[in-house]
This record gives sequence, C-alpha cells and structure tokens, in this order.
Amino acid sequence: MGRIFRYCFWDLLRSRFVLAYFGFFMLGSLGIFRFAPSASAAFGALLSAVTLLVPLCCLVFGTLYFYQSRGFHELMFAQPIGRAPLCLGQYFALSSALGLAFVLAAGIPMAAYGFSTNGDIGLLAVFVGGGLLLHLAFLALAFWIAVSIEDRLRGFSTSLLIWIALVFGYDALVMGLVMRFSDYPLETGVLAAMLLNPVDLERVLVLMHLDTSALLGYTGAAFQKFFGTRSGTWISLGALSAWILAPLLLFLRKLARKDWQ
Amino acid sequence: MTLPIRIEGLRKSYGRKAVLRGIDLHCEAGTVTAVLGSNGSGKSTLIRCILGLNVPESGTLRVFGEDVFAAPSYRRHLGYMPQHPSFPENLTVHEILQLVSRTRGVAPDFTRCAALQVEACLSQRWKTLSGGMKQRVNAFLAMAFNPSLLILDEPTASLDPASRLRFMELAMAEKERGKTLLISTHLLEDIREIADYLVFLRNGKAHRVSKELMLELAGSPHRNAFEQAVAVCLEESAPKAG
Repeated sequence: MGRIFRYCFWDLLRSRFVLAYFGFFMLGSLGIFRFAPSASAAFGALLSAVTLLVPLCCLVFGTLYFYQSRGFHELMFAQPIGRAPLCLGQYFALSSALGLAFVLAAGIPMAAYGFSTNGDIGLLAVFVGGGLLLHLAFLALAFWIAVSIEDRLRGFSTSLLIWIALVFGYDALVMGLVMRFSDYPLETGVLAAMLLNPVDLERVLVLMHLDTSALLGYTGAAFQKFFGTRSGTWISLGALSAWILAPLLLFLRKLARKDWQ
Repeated sequence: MTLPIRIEGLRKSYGRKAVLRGIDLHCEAGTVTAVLGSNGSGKSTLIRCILGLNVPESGTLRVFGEDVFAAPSYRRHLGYMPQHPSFPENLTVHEILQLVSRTRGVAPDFTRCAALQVEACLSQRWKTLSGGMKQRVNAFLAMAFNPSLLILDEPTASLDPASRLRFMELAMAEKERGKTLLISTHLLEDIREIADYLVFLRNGKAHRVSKELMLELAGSPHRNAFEQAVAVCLEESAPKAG
C-alpha cells in the first residue's frame, strides 16, 4: 500500500486538478481576508466556503479518479498485489494530495492574517484538522459510490445528490423539525442530529471555538456546553472518524467482490 | 506436473445473463492457446477470471496450482497485456517501470524486449505517449519481468503494421523460450503461425481444438482455408475437442 501511495501521490501532485484546487482555495482565501470587514467575518465566510466546496470537490474528483483508474486497476491486478492495498493506497494518496492543497491554501492566508497567534492557534488547528477529516470522509464516500455503481453518469448523479442532501437537505430537514416542534425541548435531539452530518460537525466544531456562539441564544449555550468542552470535541471527532471509517469499510467490502468490466 | 492454467466448471453471470456456463479448460506448459469467439462470447470475462478481476459464481481456477482467489502471489508467474492500458497520467514511463518492478520484486530485462524500443520514452509522462507507444510499453511490462505465463488480450489491436510484426516476433521468441501464452484475439493472422491450440467460446462453453486438427478440417494449408474453417467453427457449431 505504501508503494502505491507514494507513486499515486507523486502523480497527483503534478495533476492539473490538484493545482487548480490549490489555486482556487488560495485565491478565495486571500480574497476573503482582503475584502471582509473583519477577521472573524472573513473566517466565517471561509468556513462557509470550505463546508460547501470541500464535500463537492471531494465527491466529484473522488468518483472521477476511481472511474479513471479502471485501466490502472486492471494492469496492477496482474501484479502480485491485493485489491485492498492497491485501492487504499490510491485513497490515501488522493486524500493527502487534496488535503495538502487545502492546508496550504487555507492555512497560509489564515496565518498571514493573524490566526496563528497563541489565542487563535487552537481555532486554526480545529479548522484545518476538521477540514482534513472532511476530505477523508467525502473521499471515502466517493470511492464507495464509484465501486458500487458501474455506470459513470449514475455515479456522478449519486455523488451530487449526496452532496445536496448533506450540505443543504439535512439542515433544511433539521430546521423544519425544530420549527415544527418548537414548543418542545429539542436541544439533545439537535445535538444528536449534528453528529449525524459531517458538514454540520465541522461547522459546529469551528463555531464553538469562536465567540459567535454567544449570539445563538439558549440553543447556542447548549451547543457550547457540549461541543465547547474537551469531551464534546472528542465525541465530535469520533463521529467524524465514524464518517470516514463506515464508508471506507463499505467500500472495502464491495471491492472484494467487484467485477471489473 | 502443475499446469499453468487449469479451469474446471467455471460459471460466471452478469445479472441474469450467463456468460460462462461451466468452462473446463487447461493449458500445458510451453504451448500457445488462442481464445476465439464472437463479440460478447465471454473471452474478456474468461481472461478477467484468470486474473482475479472477475469473481465467478462457481468452479475452480488454478494458475500453476495456486487458487486464483486465495492470494495474489500467483501473479508473480504472470504477465498481462490488456487491450487498453492505463496508468496514472503524470508518471513517467521510468516511474511506471519502477512501480511495477518494485511490486513484483524483479528488475525488468531491457535486452529481452529491445525491439519494443521502450528506452526511448523512459522520461516521458504517460499522458504524452501516443497510442502505439502506450501499447509498446504495455507489451514491455507484460514480457520484461520474465513471466512463465503470458496473457495477451487483443495484443496487436492498436499497433501499426511494423510494431505488430515486431510484437509477434517477440511473442514467438517467448514461445521458443518455453513460455505459456494465452491470446485472446479477433485477428486470425496473429495466431495462425504461433498457436498450438484454438479455444472456441460459444454459448458459454469452451471447445479446445489443436491447430493440426483445424488445418485438417480446413482441408488445405492455404491461409484462406484455415481462416474459413475458423470462421465456420465460430459461427456454426464448434468441432469436438481434439
């Protein structure tokens, strides 16, 4: 797996998509920090961009990458290497390449605009670390989709539907339920709902390290009480890890019985 | 003696469509077997099963005595040339050779396949190679690690006439070295000289015929007679195994 990782990572570092991904986030981050009225407003805008675009890019590029690797898989399966080491090597190479592009493109402007001081280093770490976990989770989902659905068009459609469902649909559903049952104490239910969506987890984790949670009123206080604590952070990280491991295990299970056509 | 390929009762379906309906086939060491069949007859499926790329419903498949689905170690004996080769686009040919060489634990033998002239493109990235050059690298990767069994899927389909001739000379040289070859092809001129056995895939079954019997059926040593006899076997009923 290590060998496949090294060669695929080296290939990806030279790919146009990874360079474009880096360039897009770098220019976006610099633009946001340059033109936003305050550093915290810029940070909020950057967080929105990351939670919106990282899942989309990972799902689209992940499925595309797996589909385009079919010929490579066919050739490498004629070598003494198993399916899982080959495909996991590719998965970690892609995660590392996109993750590195993200860390550099979002981290450098943040550090340059004063988020690397002692008070903000924790926030920077949560933002970047959470972003990396988002990459791992959505690339695992993308690989699972690609290995499960033979037809590329259907694979891409499924990726886009999952993106819409997790980024927009889930929040709309939760918000609708909260409004419908506003007379009941829903804090625990909403907290649990946040754990079931990796995008919300990243968003909430970062927001709880900002002062803006004070603006959210009673619900914000309940969130702060849970996610703002060390154990809450660990539970959230555990939930994000589950979002990586579950699709990865489903991917490996499907991979073991897959027919290459 | 351990056979390079031994297949018994191999069955494979895609959904409700049964492609292989109990294939029994073996290849002796040092022989060349050509797999023939119309489009959709299951040639590629059979090769993919041997490579472990497709998982059959039932049957046993052994390569040099090793169960294909037990562990990938049997592939050390195997060289494979697919019809449409593909590698990570930004790797150079040198890096691709390194990757395969390190995976197999054997260094490639450049002198063995000098006719393919792969040295000339070692520093080029995969995406910059022409279709013919990709196929030559593909052929090199199949042969340069000295495998005992070579599986070639439509090997000359995208080669220019000169490269095709060079490739067939290399394949013949491998045969003379005692290697076992399994070739899937539509081009009868590729196999007329080199093949010892022809396997006709029809209705999900394999019918193995020696080339001598095929020539006998043709009734004449003339090339056209041979090709007509093969065409008859493909389109109508396959002859009894020889």
